[in-house]
This record gives sequence, structure tokens and C-alpha cells, in this order.
Amino acid sequence: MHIRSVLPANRTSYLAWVVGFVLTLLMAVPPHTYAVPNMANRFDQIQDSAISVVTTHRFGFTYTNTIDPVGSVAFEFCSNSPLPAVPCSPPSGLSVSAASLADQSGEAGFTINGSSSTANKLVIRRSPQVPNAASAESIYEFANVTNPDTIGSYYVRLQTFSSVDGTGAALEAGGVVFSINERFNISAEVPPYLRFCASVTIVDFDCSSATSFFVDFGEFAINKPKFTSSEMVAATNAPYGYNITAWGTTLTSGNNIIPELVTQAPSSPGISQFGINLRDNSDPNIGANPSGPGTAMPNPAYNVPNTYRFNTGEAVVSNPGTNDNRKFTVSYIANISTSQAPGIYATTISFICLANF
Amino acid sequence: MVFGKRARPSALLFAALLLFFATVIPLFRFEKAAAYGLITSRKVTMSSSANGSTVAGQDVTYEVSFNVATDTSDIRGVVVDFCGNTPIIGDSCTAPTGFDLNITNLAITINAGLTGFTKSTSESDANTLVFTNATAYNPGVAETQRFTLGTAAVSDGVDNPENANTTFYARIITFTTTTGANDYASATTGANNPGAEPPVIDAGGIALSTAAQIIVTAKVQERLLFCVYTTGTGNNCTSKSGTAVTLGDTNGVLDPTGPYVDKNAKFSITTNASGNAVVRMKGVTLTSGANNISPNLTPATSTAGSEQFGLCTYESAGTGLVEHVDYDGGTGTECSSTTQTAGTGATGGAGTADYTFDTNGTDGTTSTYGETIATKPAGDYSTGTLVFLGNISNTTEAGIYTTTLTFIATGTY
Repeated sequence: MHIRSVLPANRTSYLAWVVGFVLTLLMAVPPHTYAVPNMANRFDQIQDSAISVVTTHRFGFTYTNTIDPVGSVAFEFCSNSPLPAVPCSPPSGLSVSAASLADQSGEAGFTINGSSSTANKLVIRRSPQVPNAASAESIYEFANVTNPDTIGSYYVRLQTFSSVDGTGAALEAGGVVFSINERFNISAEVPPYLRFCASVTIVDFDCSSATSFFVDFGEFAINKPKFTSSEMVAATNAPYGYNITAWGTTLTSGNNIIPELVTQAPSSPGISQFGINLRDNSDPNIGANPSGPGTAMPNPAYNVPNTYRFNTGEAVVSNPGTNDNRKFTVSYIANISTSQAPGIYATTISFICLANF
Repeated sequence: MVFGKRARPSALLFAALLLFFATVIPLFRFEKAAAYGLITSRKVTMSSSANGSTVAGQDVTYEVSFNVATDTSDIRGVVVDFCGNTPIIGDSCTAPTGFDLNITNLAITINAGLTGFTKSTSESDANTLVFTNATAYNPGVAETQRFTLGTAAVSDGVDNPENANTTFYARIITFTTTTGANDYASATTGANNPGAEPPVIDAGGIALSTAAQIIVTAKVQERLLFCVYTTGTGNNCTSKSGTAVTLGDTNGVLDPTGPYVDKNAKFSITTNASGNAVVRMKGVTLTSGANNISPNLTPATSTAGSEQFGLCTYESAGTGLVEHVDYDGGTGTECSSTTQTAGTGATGGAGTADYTFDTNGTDGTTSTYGETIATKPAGDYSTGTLVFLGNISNTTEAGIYTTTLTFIATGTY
């Protein structure tokens, strides 16, 4: 359209047209934003700074204008600038469409004005009231805000208005910045392990010192028991613990045997018997109680001092969980009757430890 | 010389009368010839050239300075006359529009010469200062006289002319008598502007000007740059990458015989937040299914054979970063003195630093907004190095332990 076609014909009308045009132009030009005072102590505390997660933004600031009534507060998310005079570029991926006002304090009484809010702008409204000068800090917490999908710094423009829909001249303004970042992924591996060793003696819990594997009862006598001992160390990080089983035969010499104690029984000189336990005994004086930082204990059948038993394949120690170093002393006793056939009696006992991961 | 012909008697008579009147008439003039000396090096220095309709153009300080001429007569009066039309001595002076000496409250400080001179409030007006002393001041030849109208205090200075970019003038006249100065009449011409010599000694004019003030505006927007990374050099957030931190030996395996320490993780931050920026950390301890490695809920040094997960941080580049007391590793350089052992075949490196990972849900790492580990005041970049510690016991369940830690920076503006 050529502009001359809308110009009035006579001089008076032309002057009025010019004045009207200038006034319209003046009204269309936005006010200088730097004249709007800044709200003080403003911040945006974000619950999660990872990309694209749904999180909570906790805004805080202090109203500095305690003269004009406030009917709405706008929170506009921009990727380019916090300055209201600069056209806002919505952050990619950010969405406040599902946001809710989860909490508010200080100047309160606001609800989300859905019709004035957009995907990157939240407007909360209330019946216009003059901010209370005594309200040091006002907090507005928005849940269900979806973070931008790109790492970087983002801005939120905070503005207060007398209107209830975030329109008109701002009473106060201010920007805040939040940063979207990667997360640190920290990892480490704890390998499964089972430490187990058996020997006549073991120094502390050092399995490298387990180097002797032969024990000798000596010569049997009818009226007193023969006894000896060996040691075991066990530890594991198996979540379901470990079992130590004893495998072998009773003392044998060719076809002759010294019967094992299939049930728990005390040492009885004059009766042929062979058995073991894992406690400190006084009859005979042999053995030691379990020791070490671990907590594992012998099974009840082998856990009573001065009573002995031996059944091949039977668990002598069971522990339900992880266990630190634990030393067990195995006491062996043997008695013979007057009818026990002469010979060299021997046996091999194998202790097997199984961890349950 | 030869005349071509003789002059007629009437013409000779006319010429004689003309010469007579030309000689006699000046003797009947009332005015004396303006033969006063010209003061030199004269100037008026203004503390502001803003127009007087603005605050910046009000209560302005003027420093008046001039050198007397060769006449070293006693001075008992000085007039400084501000005019909007002309500096010419003797011309009628028009006061500059809006100009006001505020004579009642005007403070005058003598900086050189003119000992004991004071303003005459009754003889001065809005644009004419009458400055007198009954006791004469006898200057030397070309001696500098300097005094200041107004001070740094409020409401004791001069209001500039009210229009911007406007030239105005000052006339300075010295007198041998206070009466001469008192009789000076700015708006007249004739006997009292400036007057006869004596009492007038010297005089001179000066041009001044108000000027529009240049308004310079700039906007500084809120700024916060924050990044976390494991790879990249430089105290900035440029070309940084990496988020994986592996504790343990070359295979990432922890050992109950000693700690593994990782120092690859860093964060860099810069802000202009006047209320500082706070760096917070969120997350749980190293976890493998239902099992976890117990964190140091309070600062503690490394203990081999005990489950421990924690960290300390220190500023490895820049200035200003303040580590939280629970995460500074100690009061000295304990944290920065640690050494990297993660990824190597040797345990150790933890030194005497304290390591912490407080998982409490109120303000710890599992709270809504995480636990503060450092504070950064407004300023250039700072880089914080995060030193992670991993220890296990003999009973730490087997498994691959992982955690994801989120670091969040919040500025208060």
C-alpha cells in the first residue's frame, strides 16, 4: 500500500494524523529495561543438572519494590540472555509445560497462570498485593521441569508485574543462571576371593606360612588319650559365606581301625575312639578357640569343648555371609581299648572350603 | 612640494575649524579612556559542565585564576561578573539564563593571593561576585591570584546556566578600593562598568561553556560458566570432556591392602554472582546391587582394609575458590599432596588427607539439592580437583561398584 493513499486531504487532518502516528509510535516502543530495579539476592537452585532430566527449580529472591502491588511473577527460560530487552531464545529441550508450583514462601499465595505460561515461561498469579517489606526472601519451587538437552549455561528472566498475567510494565526484574552438565560416573570392582589354608601351624593369618601337614599321635596308651592339633585360616567376601567340610577316614592300620565318634562324646581312655573338634579343650588339654577379626564359628557338632566327633564329609564350619580372617584350631584325639590290634594307624583328613557367591 | 594652484580662503577656514574641534572636543568627554591593564593567564575551571537544570550542573565548583598585569597597585576589590552575552569589559552584561552563584551559601576558598578577601553578600547578586577586603593586598608583578567558588560539600557551589552546550562569559576586574568594586554595575554601561582607573586596576574576559553530558550505558548480564570433566587442560571450560572415574588398579580392582586414589576429575567455574556461586554434589556411595562401600560420613583419613569412599577437593588453578571445611582434606595442603594411584599397580597415594562423603538426607549428598563442597566468589575461573578415595575390607562383597555423582553450581545475584 502506498502511504500517500492513507494521508488525509486537508492540512488540519494531516497534522492530527501525524501527531497520532507519533503517539502510536511512542507507545509501541518498549520502555528502557535498565530503568526497572533488580530484585535482590536472586538465585535458581536446581535439583539435578543433567541433560533432559525432569527436575525441580527452586527460585529465591527478595522484593525490593514494596510500594506497587504484585499480581504476577514471570520466570522465562532463555538460552541466549537474561536481559528482558533481548529477544528470548527458548532452550532446546527445556519444558515447563508440566511444571507445578510445589512450594512457596515469603510473598506467597500464587498459583500458576496456565493461560499466560508457555513451554519456556512460567507465570504465577495472585490477587495483587504490595509485597511485605518484612519478607526477607521469597521462595518459589517448581517441580516437573524438563532440563535442556544440551550442556551449557541457561538463563531465567525473573520479572514481577502488577497485572495477574505477566503483562504490562515490569515492577522488578533480574536474571539468574543455571548450568547443565555431565555427571561423573565412578566405578570400581571388588573381585571375589576366598582365602583358605590348613597346616599344622599358621603364623597369624598368613597362609604363606602354612607349610607343615603331618601330625603324629605318638605311641598309644590304654589309660590316657593321645591328641594333637592343626590350624586353618579362612576368609571370603562371598555374600553367602562359606562352609568347611572334613573329609577322610578314621585311623586305620591295614584292616584294623580305631572307630570314629559318629556322635559327640568326651574322650574315654580304654575305649577305641577317634574324633575332632574346633574348641579349646581341657580334657585332654588341646586346642584353641577360633580367633581373628572374622566372626565365623564351628558347627555345633564340633563346637563343644571336650566333646569330639568325626563324620567324613560333615561341615565343621559354616558361615552365612562375608567373613574376615578367622583361624580355627582342629583338635584330634584318639583312645584305644585293650583289644585294639597293634599296628601303625594313619589317616589323611582333607578340609575343603567352599564359598557361596 | 609645489601646489598647482592656491587654496581658497573659505576652505582653509573650514579645515582650521575641523582641527580645532578635533582637539578640543575630547577634553569635554566625561569618560576616561579605558587604559587598565589586561590580566593574564586567566581562567575559570569548572568541576562540571553539565547544564544547571540537571543535578550534575548544580552546586558546581569554579576555580577562578588570573595573573595581575604589570600594575602592582594595592587590590581591595575583585569583581567576577558572569554574562550570557559578551565578555567585553564595559558592555552591558546579561546574566546567563539559570546561572546562580547562590551567593548566600557560596563558599570561597582562597588558594593564592588576595589574602583576607571575603564575598560581599549585599553587593553581589546571582551572576556578579563582589570580593573585597578593606586591607589592601599588594601583589607582585604578574602574581597569580586564585580562589575557588564552592567546595566538595553540598549546597555551597554555583549553579551552571540551565541550557546545555551554551557559551557564557566571565569578566574579572580588580579595584584599588572596596568602593570601586561595590559600585560596579553589571547591567549598565558607563561610569560603573567597569569605572575609572583608578579605582579599576586590571580586567579581562573569559569564555566558558556548558556541555551536554554523554550518557554511556552498558549491560552486564548474569554469568555462570561451570563444567565438570576428566580430560582437558587449562583453567577454563574450553575443550573439556570425560566423565568416567575408575578407582582401583589397572583393571579397576580395589584391594583391601591399600587405597586407590583418583585425581582426574575436575570442575571449573567462573561467575559474576555478587552473592557467590555454590558448588554442590549429589549422589550415593559406590553400590553393587544391594551391597555398597561404606562412605566416610565425616572427614577421615584413609584406613587400609576398611571400607571407605569419599573425596576431598582443592583449587588446582585460579584463585578464590573456598572448599567446604568437610571437603578440604584438612587445614593445609593435605588434599593437594595426594597422588594418583588409580589405574596403576600400586596402592596408596591417600596421604594424610581427610576424605568425606556425607550421604545424609538433610543437607548431605542425598538431600534434595545436594551437599556444598565449595564456594566461588565473583571472579575469573577457578578449577577444583576432586580427589576420590576407594578402600575395601576383606569382607566387602564382590561385585562391580558404581555411582553417578552430579555436581551443581548455583549463583546468587
